[in-house]
Amino acid sequence: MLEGSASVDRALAKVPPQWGLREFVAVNPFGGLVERTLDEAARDVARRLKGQILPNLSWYRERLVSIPTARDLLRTAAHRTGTDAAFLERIALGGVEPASEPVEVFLTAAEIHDRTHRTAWDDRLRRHDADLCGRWARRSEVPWGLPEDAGLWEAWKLWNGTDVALEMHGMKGWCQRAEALPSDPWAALDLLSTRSGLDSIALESWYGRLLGGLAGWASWLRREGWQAGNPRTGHLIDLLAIRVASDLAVRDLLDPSSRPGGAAAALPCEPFGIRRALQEAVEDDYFHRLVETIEEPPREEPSPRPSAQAVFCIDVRSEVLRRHLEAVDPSVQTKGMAGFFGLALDWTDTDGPGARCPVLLGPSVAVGPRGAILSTAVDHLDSRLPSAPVSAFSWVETLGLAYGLKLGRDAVAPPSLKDRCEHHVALDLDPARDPEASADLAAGVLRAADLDPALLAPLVLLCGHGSRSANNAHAAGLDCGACGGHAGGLNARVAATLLNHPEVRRRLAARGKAIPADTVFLAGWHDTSIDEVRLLDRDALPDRARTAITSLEATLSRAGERARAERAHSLGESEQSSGSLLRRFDRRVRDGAITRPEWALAGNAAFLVARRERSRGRNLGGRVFLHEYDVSKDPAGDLLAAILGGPMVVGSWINLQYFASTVDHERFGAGSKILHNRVGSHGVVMGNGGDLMTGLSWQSVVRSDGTWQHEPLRLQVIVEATPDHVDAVLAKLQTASSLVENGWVRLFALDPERPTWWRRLGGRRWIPEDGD
Amino acid sequence: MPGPFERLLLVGITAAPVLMALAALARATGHAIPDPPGLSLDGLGLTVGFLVACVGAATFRFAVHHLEGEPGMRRFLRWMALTIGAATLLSLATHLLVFFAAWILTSMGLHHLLTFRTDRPLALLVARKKFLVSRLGDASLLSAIALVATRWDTFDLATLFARMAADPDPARTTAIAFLVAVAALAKSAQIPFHTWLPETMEAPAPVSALMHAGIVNAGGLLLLRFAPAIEASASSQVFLVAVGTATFVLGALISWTQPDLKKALAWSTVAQMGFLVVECGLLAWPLALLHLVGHGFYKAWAFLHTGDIPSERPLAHSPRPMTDLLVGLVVAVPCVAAASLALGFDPTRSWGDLALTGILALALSQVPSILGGIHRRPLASLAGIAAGALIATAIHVGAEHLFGHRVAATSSPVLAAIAGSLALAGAAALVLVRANLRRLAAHPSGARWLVRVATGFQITTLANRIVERLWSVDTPKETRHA
Repeated sequence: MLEGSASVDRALAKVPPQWGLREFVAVNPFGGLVERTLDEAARDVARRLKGQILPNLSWYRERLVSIPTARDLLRTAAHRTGTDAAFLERIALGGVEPASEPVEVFLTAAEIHDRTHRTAWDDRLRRHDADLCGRWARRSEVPWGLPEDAGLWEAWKLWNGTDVALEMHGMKGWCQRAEALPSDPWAALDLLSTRSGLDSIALESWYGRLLGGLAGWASWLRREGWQAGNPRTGHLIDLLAIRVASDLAVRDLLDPSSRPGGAAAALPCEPFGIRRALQEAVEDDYFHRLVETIEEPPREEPSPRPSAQAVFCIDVRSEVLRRHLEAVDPSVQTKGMAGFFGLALDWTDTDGPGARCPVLLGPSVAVGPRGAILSTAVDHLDSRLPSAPVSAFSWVETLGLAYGLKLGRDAVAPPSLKDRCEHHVALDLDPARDPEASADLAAGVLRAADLDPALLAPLVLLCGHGSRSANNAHAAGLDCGACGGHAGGLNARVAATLLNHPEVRRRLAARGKAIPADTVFLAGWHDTSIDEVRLLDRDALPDRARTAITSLEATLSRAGERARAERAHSLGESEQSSGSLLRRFDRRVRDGAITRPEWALAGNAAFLVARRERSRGRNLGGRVFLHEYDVSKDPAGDLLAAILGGPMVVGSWINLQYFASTVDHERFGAGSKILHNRVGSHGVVMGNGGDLMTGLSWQSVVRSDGTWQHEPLRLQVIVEATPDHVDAVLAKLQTASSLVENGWVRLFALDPERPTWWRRLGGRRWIPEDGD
Repeated sequence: MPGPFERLLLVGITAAPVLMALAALARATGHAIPDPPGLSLDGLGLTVGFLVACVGAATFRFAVHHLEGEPGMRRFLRWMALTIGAATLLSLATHLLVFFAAWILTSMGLHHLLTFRTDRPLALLVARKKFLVSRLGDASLLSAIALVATRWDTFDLATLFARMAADPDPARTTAIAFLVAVAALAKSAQIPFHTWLPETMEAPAPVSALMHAGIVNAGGLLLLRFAPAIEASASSQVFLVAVGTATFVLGALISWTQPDLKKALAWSTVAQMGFLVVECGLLAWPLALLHLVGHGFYKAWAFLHTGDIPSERPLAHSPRPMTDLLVGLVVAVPCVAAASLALGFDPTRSWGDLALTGILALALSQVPSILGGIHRRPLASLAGIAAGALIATAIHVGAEHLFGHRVAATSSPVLAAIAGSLALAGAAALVLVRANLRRLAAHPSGARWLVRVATGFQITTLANRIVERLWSVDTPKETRHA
């Protein structure tokens, strides 16, 4: 077995996974570090990736100077973090520069060589290896690709036995050396690591730096092992072997004095402890305002028996629409749960990823269209003609002129965007096939959304969400993360079908959860790019529901108008009469030139696990995830465990992805869309190539005036339950309690009976929070 | 945000295609419009001018929105407007000094657009490579102009060709044809001047769209403008066909291996430009013009849509591509012959026409394989071939009517036959390689051929080494590290 194989495992485990563009879900860029405290992780990220987790002092100063209570906030934060309060205040408000806390960075052989010889081998080798990763990823998709059955390492050996480009740049012997290495990646890694002469501690640093040099492809490769729960599964180990082979070649073929780790660089960093304390202060400011809003008396009382209920995803964008929906018609009640409605669907129509559930889960319920959706001859012509041999030439002469018309149409009146076929095709779904399982799923929806079967409204809307935008490689990132980066309409359709099915209802009744006979479940999806709700399968519902549906539709449309008016300013659209705002929003998202079709989850800052009564009628500014939770119905804490272990973890991933892409865009963000170059559906690279980009694009977090649209606040998780109840639940959840304990999210408890707030500190301590 | 000046530019640029269309309409209805000095509102000029103006307007509008919030956006838009203006001027210019000035100005404007992102060191290397190639082309074009002016004492193309016909000088004409050909090859990214084009992805998408649709095809425009000189020199025709064929074969092969979308598009442009040059070498001027315009529109559209991810539904690949090819060919040849007969087109009137008709048959032979195999869609395949033959021939005949066709007296039938066979062989080779890719992949040396082709036989590396020697490039800074 490989010497120092624990170093390998640790290096691999630190790499967060990344999904492809068809299912671009948010990922915690610090996913491999949640077992460490924020401070430790920040040092590790600096050492390994030369990256920063927390913003620079300048950002905190700018932020704090505008807060009237800044001094109080700083004093409390200093006290809580054990920092010298006076010193903290001088730094934050007095312009005092604290001493830098340099971090020692392990240098690779290529970096050392570049430093002494003013060359660019590190960049060249990383590009060279990144290029191969792209070719390997698309080996069966391009007309002429690498052998399909070759592993990544095998492909690298195959390629570099022939590609003499690096030899031409001066690395003589490269090809022969590549060919001579063992064909098993583990054996090669073992051999090269031994030859490097590094001990196991240095090896881990070296591995970390090398994988960090191609962090994007490493993340893409990490996904397979992440899903299997074993970092060694998949081809990330191949990439490590490749990077090790490339770096050691610098020492062996170019310059024996350039040894990996032969020198270190000191990376100047602003003090971590100070920034951590300032982060607390800035977050306290937001939290206090949030508490004030929640403690406001509600603007209107909801009616006891709602005329309609609408279940939305917890997504922060739902908050805006729900608020307006309830304001337009106070007899409507809204609820929040993860937008896949607890259905881990596996959509079987496509060749690609079919999972319609959070990536934390595996798909378990197969659903497909009734009858196959066949590709047409026109589909073939459209996609294959441009690369067909010789035909491509005749084709531009014959049909090229038609593209002139398309070009003109795009500029003048871009075509409308197609809806997903799975929102409209007939589904191959018969709940009677396995009625007991169907009833389980149906009961799960009711429970998670806190819908009391006996008190159900005559009409219940199950509303997923999705987004539409033209020419947007990262469009899936705007869709529902709980549906695995897809629109949620399919899950809503399946959930409604189950809950409307007579056999399922009979079984539910037998379990004491009888659904009133006049209640109808309606599926729909919230198009977040234009804030319109589209209703699905309405023709399948009984006639008696028609009036209620028409009325709800009108209410939704008025709520949508208000939501658009609220968002217009942030998108640079001036507020006009609402009808024309819809047209302008729609025009925007159809225009492929637009890089900011919507702000998606930018601004997200809190996660409220509570009854809707606590938030109803309060303006939470589209920054809060809302999950329904009534502790009185969950004495054992199962439901809370499901929420904190699932949606809360996903919420923190989203939160930390926005956080990282904003704070250190260079390292964790996906760069500017104007230079994105798509590698099939796997991801994008910048311009001519290089590493696969991770995270969110520049335009997703930064406004066109250069200021940050997203404010980097950690997720403020608020649970409406007693601290004891929360602790009992948290003790059973490993990931969730690590996130809390190590400071990746902040946790608060809101007493269900009294307006008393509790703050969870490290070491399972709770302190009362006075709210201001 | 774009300022009032940029908005004014947008209005002006959007008006250009309308003006072009109006001028074309006036010309078609027999209304004479006086030519502005140095320019001609002739069929060729208005056609290419219309393309460039359309692409310019579409890409400029796109850029105004796409680059919102990008540092240096206003400066970028001004350079872009200048480049579009220069390219439009170039398409109408028939005075050689005006032509040359527009030619240089287009290139300079493009240089600024390609180096827009100063934080991308690779952009600089590529821009310098392109700069050197362009200056080589400029020198060649300038020499051709000098040869023209010193012998026939004019800078006006119409006057030149009239005097050339009255007072021929075959040796000098051949020299001019070769110099013009070299200038065109440098502009249109032909082997061995091609390596800069696929590496220009460090520029924003609208620049790629503009460049691939409205600027690289200026090489084709130059050849079309100098058609009489090239017709007079059989050796220059063979030269063009040889280089063009090598370029379209290599460009297509490399584009099949590209993992990222923009490079695949760029290599396909290299191939398409190669084919355009072949058509010029075969003296199929109307087809060349059609190709220039059709490709321009398509490629501009494609570059502005690179973010759209195609449908998830997999398209089945044909299990027996060789059978598809043979069946396709057996059907395509009579279809093309019948279509030619029906539309009164005589493919045998010149070697060039014969070769291009053969290439059309080869193109149509791909239909079954494109549709997933002859066994899967037999009727659609046959119908596709027949319809394709009819439409392509009709468009060819129509283009000849519209743009005027002249059969040049062949000075050397042997050379013409060689040129025709070369182009046809190149197309046949591409079709055969594509049908046998899977067999090639299974062969032990298949992977080695893949690497050789995908790396472009290392011409790119060689070119980069030369540029680095000639023009010392600063050490590229790490792009992703802090």
